[in-house]
Amino acid sequence: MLINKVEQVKSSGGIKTATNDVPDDLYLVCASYEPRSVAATESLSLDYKARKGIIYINKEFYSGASSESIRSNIIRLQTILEQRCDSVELAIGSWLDVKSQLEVLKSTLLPAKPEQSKEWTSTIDITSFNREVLLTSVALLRVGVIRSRIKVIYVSPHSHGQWLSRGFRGIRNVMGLSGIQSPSKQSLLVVLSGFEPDRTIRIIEEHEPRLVLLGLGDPPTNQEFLLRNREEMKLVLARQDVKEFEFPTASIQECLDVLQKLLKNYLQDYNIILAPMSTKLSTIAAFLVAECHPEVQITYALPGEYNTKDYSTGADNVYEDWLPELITR
Amino acid sequence: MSRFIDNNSLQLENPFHVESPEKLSPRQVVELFISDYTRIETVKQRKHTFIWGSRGSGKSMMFRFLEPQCQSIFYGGYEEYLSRSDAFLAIYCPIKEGALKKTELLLLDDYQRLIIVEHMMNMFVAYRTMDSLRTQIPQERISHDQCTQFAWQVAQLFDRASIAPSIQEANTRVKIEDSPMLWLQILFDNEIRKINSFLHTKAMYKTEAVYEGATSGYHDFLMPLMRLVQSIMMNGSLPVYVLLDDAGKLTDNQEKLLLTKNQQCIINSWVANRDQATLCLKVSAERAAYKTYSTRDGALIEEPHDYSSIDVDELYTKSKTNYFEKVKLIANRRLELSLVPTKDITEFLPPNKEEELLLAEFKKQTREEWHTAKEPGRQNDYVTRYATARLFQHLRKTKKRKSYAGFGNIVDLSSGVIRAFLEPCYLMFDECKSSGTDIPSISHIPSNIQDDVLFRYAEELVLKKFDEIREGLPPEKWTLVDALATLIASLGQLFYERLHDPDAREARLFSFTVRGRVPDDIDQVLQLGVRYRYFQLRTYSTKEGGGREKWYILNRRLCPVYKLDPSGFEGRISLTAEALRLACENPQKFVRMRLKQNINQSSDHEHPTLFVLEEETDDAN
Repeated sequence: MLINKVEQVKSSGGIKTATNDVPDDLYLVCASYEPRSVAATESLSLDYKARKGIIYINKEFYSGASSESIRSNIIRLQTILEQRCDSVELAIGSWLDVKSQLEVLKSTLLPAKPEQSKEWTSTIDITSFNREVLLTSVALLRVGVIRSRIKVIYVSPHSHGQWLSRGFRGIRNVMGLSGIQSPSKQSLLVVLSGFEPDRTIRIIEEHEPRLVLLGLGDPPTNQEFLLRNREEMKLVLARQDVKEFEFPTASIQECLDVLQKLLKNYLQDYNIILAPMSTKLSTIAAFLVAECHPEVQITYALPGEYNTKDYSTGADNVYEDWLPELITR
Repeated sequence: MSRFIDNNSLQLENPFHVESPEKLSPRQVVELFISDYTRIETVKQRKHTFIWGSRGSGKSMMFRFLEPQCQSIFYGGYEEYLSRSDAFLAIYCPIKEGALKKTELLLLDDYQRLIIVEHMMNMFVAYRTMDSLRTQIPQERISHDQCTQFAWQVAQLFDRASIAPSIQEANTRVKIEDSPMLWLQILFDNEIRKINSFLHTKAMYKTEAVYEGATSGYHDFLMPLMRLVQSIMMNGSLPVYVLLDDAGKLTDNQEKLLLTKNQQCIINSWVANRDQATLCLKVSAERAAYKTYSTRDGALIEEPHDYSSIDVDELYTKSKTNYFEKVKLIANRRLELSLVPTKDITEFLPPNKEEELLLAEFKKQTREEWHTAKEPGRQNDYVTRYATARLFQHLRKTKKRKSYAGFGNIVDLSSGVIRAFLEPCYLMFDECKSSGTDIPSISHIPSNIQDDVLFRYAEELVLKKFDEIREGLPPEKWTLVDALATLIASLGQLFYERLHDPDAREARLFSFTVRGRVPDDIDQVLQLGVRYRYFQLRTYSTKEGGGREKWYILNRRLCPVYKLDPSGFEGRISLTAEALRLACENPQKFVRMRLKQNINQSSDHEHPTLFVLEEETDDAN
């Protein structure tokens, strides 16, 4: 894994393809209202090449209050990618309608005819995806493509807004990651928590698990984020049957190792539900846990609305990481 | 944090600690469960039954109590339990979020989805049944000679080719003759995996997914399975009671709603068969969350032909009602299981002495007043109607805080939901303990502590709770939350004014009915109020006859905030849709208009009245 300031990345030649000197088959980015949603693409090296560039957009944002900033970000992304990709496509999905979200992702991400012998390489800027779309995208690229090599880029912000999301529309398992539940086992909910205590509480109340393991992001991507994470989760930790643990937020592999070790003690006796609500890198680690243990379900709390006006500011560090080879138990 | 000190010793650190029934051992369930006044006898009858109730009203506890292990502990042994003429074999099936309502099901067409949902539910019930036979019934109660044959017969209920891989899987894991029930569990588990694998493929691949597992229905699987279960029980043909817990959870999410309806549709189809002698269904849910009574074929199930129902949320809480007695028994049992020296809840939660004396004085006064008022009605009714009101009026005049301390008051404030009684008591006990008193020295909860907690508990409902509701809903529904908060404030103020008005004839108003058609937006506010338990909803016969109107009773937990009398409700207010709208928008104007209108009413009978007060009759249901 590589961590550098945005400026450093740019000055040292920029972001390379998933496999050095080999053009990517896919470059995937989500255009959002956050300023950092263009930072990774702006940091691509001049010789970066991909066969296909996809800019994913949630249609609700495209026509909502933040449409102006999104449109300008799309244009910025398109301009850059047109110079580096053979083709550039807009994938207009929906964060509300899970069916159309899946259909759009399936039709745009998966190759028409998977080539068994060839390794399919992708670079995904995971910065601005909502977690459900990110998890579904990664799942599709890992499951639907026979040999897949995925590099992810994440850009952390300078700061987050006072609130990130508000309200609640319901919970649902992420498509393709519903797990396998034994009817006689009780459930265990593992939350990788962030700054959204209300959504966390809703997930607990909806699942009514026998036990909750609440993860605090430590080490964090920024020390201030850990303080806020602790503060926001105080109420959740005060609830009955909630145990605390820590997980690293900035490394897929390290976070995966912590989760694997943690869950080893519970897999036999519980139906495990995983709720990634922290960094996108730890969200990928959660996916890998579910990939390794198909019994694990990944759950998602659909927010009422996002803070499109003031979600985050700036672009701080660029994290470059690779998904490990397919993990088997 | 207060916990059960020990799994087996059943000693409660805090006598009012609430634990999820699923976490309790059978012995703890039996120790804690009070069967009196719960209408459990209706549930035990061989008839499909719906058990309606809010979260925390005791539905799951009742279901757990019906499980074989609990029943055998309760009756003093398996022989005693199983040889009863009304014995049954109960299979507890808690429906958990995420296990049956999988998002991938949305990718199937309606017809395919119903087939898969029914198969999932069948496998779920079948698995739980085998689990029960393995873990809840002593092996000598099951005819072992027949068990291997039983397992084969069950496997043959499926299409032979479709089930072959699952049989093969079960054979590799365990020998059928060694453990036939486990063998079947593995087989069902494999079927569950096949469904999940199909759903996964459907979601993740571009190619068309083909379901290769078995399917199962009611007539070709579930019923024959239960007949076979009956055949292996040593005690003969016990009916199998399938207890489906939480068959409906309230949600605003349309996708979830669709999956919930599919599930309920399957349950209704099972209910419609009326095979209670073999398979009897007991279904628990929040009433408002049970969204359809339609079967798969589009027919409707009807009460009482197809099922009976009970509502575990109680309406009446006064002394001598079932609910009052039930709470008393539950609380006393809990005191027995704790280290506190007092074992009588009425002594443990004493009322405020000073107020008791005052009330006695007002009772004496109103008794005398009844004579001077030319003896209207019965004297006791007159005293009940006015003495408490006089007390409230006196306290307002002397600027004293109304005390809600005392067991009877707290039962009233709990508005018919047992958890709403236990929760504040838990907090009161915790407060006593944190002040440094040893548990064995806590002989009672001082009335000032009771009052402080009850006020905070009520305040939470008018302040914090609305924020929580808002956070639990999408932004487009937040205006409904605001309207509900205003409506509650309007009603609180209105009822306060009535209670504190020395001239008011109906001082203890606490509920309302709605006259005429309610516009959708106002109806949504009322529904939200019912959903979050600001109101209890019942129906009432209309004065004109020939119909019933909705009757909304304010949650009495609110009383300490609005200084209202929780001890009962005489009469109700009939509101028009316009008045309700005003109450949702402007409490001050709403209360003023009512008072003004009342004055107008006496001087000018031609004017339409905003409020009509009607006497309560006894035909509420």
